[in-house]
Amino acid sequence: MHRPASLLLLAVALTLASATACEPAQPDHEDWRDDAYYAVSDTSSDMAAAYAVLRQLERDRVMGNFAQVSLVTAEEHAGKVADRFGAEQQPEADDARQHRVEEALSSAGDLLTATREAVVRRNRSAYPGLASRLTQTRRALDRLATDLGGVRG
Amino acid sequence: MKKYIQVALGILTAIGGFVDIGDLVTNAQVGARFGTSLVWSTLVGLVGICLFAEMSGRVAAVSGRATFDLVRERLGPRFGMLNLVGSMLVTLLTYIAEIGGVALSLELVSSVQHVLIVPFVALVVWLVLWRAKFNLIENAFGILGLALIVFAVAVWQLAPDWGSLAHQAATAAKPHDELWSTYWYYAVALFGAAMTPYEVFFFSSGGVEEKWSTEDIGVMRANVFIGFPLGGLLSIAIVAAAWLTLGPLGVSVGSLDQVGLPVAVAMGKIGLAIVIVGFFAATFGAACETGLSVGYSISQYLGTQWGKFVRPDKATFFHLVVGLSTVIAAGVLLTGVDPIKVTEVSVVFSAVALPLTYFPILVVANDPDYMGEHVNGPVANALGTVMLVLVLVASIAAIPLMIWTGMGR
Repeated sequence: MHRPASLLLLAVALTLASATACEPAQPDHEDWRDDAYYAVSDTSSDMAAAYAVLRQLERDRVMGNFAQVSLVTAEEHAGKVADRFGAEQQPEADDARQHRVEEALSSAGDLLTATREAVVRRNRSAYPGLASRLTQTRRALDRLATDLGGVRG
Repeated sequence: MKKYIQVALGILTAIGGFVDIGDLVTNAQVGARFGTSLVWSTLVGLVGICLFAEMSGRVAAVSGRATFDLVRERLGPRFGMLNLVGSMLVTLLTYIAEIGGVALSLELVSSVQHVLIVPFVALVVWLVLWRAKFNLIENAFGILGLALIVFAVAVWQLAPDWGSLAHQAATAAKPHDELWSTYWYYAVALFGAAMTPYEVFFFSSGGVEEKWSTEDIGVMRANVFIGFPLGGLLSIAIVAAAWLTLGPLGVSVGSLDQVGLPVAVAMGKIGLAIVIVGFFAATFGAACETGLSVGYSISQYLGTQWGKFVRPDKATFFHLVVGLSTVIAAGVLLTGVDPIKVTEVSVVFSAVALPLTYFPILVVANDPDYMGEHVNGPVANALGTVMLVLVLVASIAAIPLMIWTGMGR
């Protein structure tokens, strides 16, 4: 291939890549529903893991450092899931559901942050209340996942 | 007496060294979601790794040469190169995952972000590979890896319904809320984790390092046929512990702390401390094995001096490859990539590369010119051929399943 032609191809490829990279993903309803389902399920799993660690910490069955690392991991993972899901452009018909999912993910993330803060500060008196809230939030997320009726719903 | 001690040590090392980051993560993920319904895949993988490790060990003992050394000679430079590239890339990926695993283990006790620990781990691994004796690398971490037996103790402590666990394993019953595509994806991942290519490179090259002869074939077989299956039991214990504790909570394992959580639930702080020691030993030992395996494979293909039995100044290329691989591994991990994700990818690509690793071993072990009277018998050939078909199916299915299921979501 001649050099100018290769350069032109490269320029077109780069332009296309940069143009599409700025475009948010636009899934159809089915794909959006599956993505929402996975986002909610993954966050529910993070809540469950945080709950399990907190209960063990309450009973003095895990080291503080271990609990701290576990909760930071859960918090970071939930944050990544929320960011990834929030970056998607939902189909218009799913506007309300998108809002509901984003709100659920956001409040779950806030609760994980509060749990991590309490554990880092070794604020033991807050543990029972947080454990109860983690369970409630996880149940709410599981109900939401069922309502969404995604891949495994 | 010395012989018995040697056999016992070899078996203990084989048990403790059997589990690596891929086994830890994949078994815990599968256990939490599928219970014991996929144990059959681990068992099939176990039969495969025993079969081919024995063949490669026998080749090393009879010929005094390791796998890659013979592949190029027996199958020609083109196939040798294909074999080298495929297997070496997977081993490098596994090396990255293992170094990440060591850093994650240390993060659990220090609460220092694992990315900050990676350069330190890479430096120590490289120093060990450069300076430590082969026996020390193999035995010390293998023995320390026995700490992972704590998973079996944890299962016992959790007092499960053994009948239910056995029934689920025997019927291979998929939980109703999981998809068949995901079930098969994890079946292939478990198979890939059990039969990781580096295990046979390390085993056969280790045989050459330790100057095995035909007299050592009995000891080698005891290590493989007793040590590996007992090591496989550890994998099954991880599955059961995860199912009993994480399954009911709905935790999908995505981090190393969650792999260890079942032990904490069952045994508290002491169990947790032991399991973290086990994580460290298993990943550090496997990091050393994979690091050496990258050096072994390239050096053996190119026909340069290799191994720990040669002085470093006589095997400069080998040590250069090991050092460079360590720098690449650290560099990849310093980008902030999640070591658990690297592990998940590495076990799938292990499955893809399996035929490239195991087909040549079967060919060489059948060649009377190399093997003389120790050539494969009909049973080894029949089992080897069946296993090769399974390996081929897993290899073809691995990437489509990975894409189809979004890496087992």
